[in-house]
Amino acid sequence: MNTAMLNNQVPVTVLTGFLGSGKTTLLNRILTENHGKRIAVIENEFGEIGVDNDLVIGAEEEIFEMNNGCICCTVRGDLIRILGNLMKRRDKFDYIMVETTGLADPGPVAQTFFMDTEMQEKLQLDSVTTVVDAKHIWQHIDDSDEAREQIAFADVILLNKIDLVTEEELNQLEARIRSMNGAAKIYRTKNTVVEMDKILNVGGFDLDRAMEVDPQFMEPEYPFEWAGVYNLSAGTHELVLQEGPDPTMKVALVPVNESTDEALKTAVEPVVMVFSDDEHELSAGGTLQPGGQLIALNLTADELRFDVQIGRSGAYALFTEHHPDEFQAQLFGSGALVKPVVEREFKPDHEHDDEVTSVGITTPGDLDPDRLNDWISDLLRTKGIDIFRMKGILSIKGQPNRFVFQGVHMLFDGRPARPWDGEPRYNSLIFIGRNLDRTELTEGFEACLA
Amino acid sequence: MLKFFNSQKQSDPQQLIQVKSWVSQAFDLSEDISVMITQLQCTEEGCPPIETVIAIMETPGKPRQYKIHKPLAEVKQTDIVSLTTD
Repeated sequence: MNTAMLNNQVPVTVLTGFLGSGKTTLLNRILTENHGKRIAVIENEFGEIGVDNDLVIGAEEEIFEMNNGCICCTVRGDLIRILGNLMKRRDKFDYIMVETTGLADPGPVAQTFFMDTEMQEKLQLDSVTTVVDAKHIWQHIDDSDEAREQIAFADVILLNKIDLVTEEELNQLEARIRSMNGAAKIYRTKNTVVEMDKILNVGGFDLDRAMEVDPQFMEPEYPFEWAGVYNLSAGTHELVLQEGPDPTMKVALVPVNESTDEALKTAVEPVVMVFSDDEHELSAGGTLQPGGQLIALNLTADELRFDVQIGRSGAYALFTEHHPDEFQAQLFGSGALVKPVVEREFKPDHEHDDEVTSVGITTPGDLDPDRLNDWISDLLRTKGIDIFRMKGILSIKGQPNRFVFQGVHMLFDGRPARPWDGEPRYNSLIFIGRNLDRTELTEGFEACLA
Repeated sequence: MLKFFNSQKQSDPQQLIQVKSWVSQAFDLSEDISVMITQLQCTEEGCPPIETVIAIMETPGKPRQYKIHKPLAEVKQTDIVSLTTD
C-alpha cells in the first residue's frame, strides 16, 4: 500500500509523449487491463483516438501563471477546474490518468499538483510517465524543448517501438536519456507492453520513495567510465584498440578475489585512489601489468596493441577512463577474444553537451538548517525556472529523522521521514534541469554542511 | 524562519476550507467554480516571507488572482471581503 492509498488520496499519473509515440495505445492498455482500478481519464487530445472508458473528460490546455512577483508558478487552469469537479464524484473512481498533448510542457501540469493546498491533500501525483518513440525521437531530441522536458520531467520512461531499432541504437538512446534524467526508471517496450505495476502506483512523487533511484546515478562521479572483470590465465594477453576520440586513455588493471560484481565493487574505491596518482605513459607495443599503477595508453600509433602480462591465473579488473567501445578495445588470450565476466559502467556511454542534465550530490555529514534554507531559497529564486525536478534525502543537524523532499521548479514539499537510528547519516539529492552547473550546485550544497 | 521546512502542507485544512468558503461567499461564486489557494514564499527584501495567493477559476483562460500579504493561517474573513472592493 502506498502513501496515497494510506492517506485516501487519489493517485494521478500524467502521461506524456510525442504524437505517435504510443501514448494512447498505453492508455487504452491501462484501461483494459484487469487491475481492478476504476480510472478517470483527463484527455487533452480528446476524441482524436477513441479511448474506451466511461469517465473521459476533455481538457483544453489553459496555462496561467500564479506569482507574487518573486516566485512564479505556471499551472494548468483547465486541470484545476476539471480536477475540482471530478473530486465531487470521488466515489466513482480510484485513479486518475492525465494524458497531455504531444507538445505539452509537463511543468505546468506537475506544478498544478503542488500548487493548491487542498489538491495536495486530496490527490497524489504518482508519476510523470513519458512514452518515447525509440525510432523517431532522434528527430526531436536535439531541437524540441518539449521532447527534452518530457524526458527530464519523467519518473518512468517507456522506450517504445524497440522492434524498429537495433540493440546498439537502443543502448545509445538509453545512455542519452540517462544523461538527461538520471532518476527515471527506463523500460524498453514493444507496443507499450509493460507490467501495470511499472506504470501505476509507482510513487515517483512519493516522499517516502523519493530516493528510490538508479543506484548508479547516486554514486559520486568516478574518474573512469567502465570496469570489467576478466578470468585470465597466467601468460601474455593482448589488448587491442582502434583510434578513438582521444589520443590517450588511462587504465588500471588490478587483481580481484573473484569474477563477481561484489569483488568488482570492492576494487572501485582503491582504484579511484590509483586514478589520482601520477600516470605512467605506455606506448603501443608496451607491456601492461596488474598492480596499483595508473597507465596512460598512448593511442597515436598506427597499430594499437599492448601486451598484458599475467603472472598468476585469476580474476583481474580492468578500469578504463573511457568506455572501451569508443576505442573498440578488446582483450585477446592465445589469439581468442576474452570477454569480461562482469562489467559495469560508471557513466553513460557518451557525454553530450545537453542543456538538459541531471546533477546528483551524495555526501556524508549533517547540514546546518539555516545555511541550507538560505541556499535553497536563493537557488530556487534564481534558478527555479531551470530546475525541472529535484528530490532528496537530507541529514539535518540535531534532527533524529531523515528529511525527505521533492520539488517541481520553485515549488517543493518536504517533511521528516524515518529516524536514522544509528545508521550512517548522509545527504543525497538530485536536480534535473536545464543549464545546471554541477560544480556550483555541489559547492553550494557542501557549504551548507554544519 | 526555516523556509526549507516550511511545507505548504503544514497549513491547517480547516482554515483552508474556511477561506475557500469565504471566497465563494464574498464573490458570490456558484458551487462548480474552483478556487485555488496557495502560499508562496519569498526571500526578497521588502516582501512578506509568505503570501497567500487566491485564484478564482471562473472563466476559462481568465482566472482572477488575488494576493494577501500574510500566511493562510492569519487570513481573516475581512481580508477576503476587502478583495471584492479592490
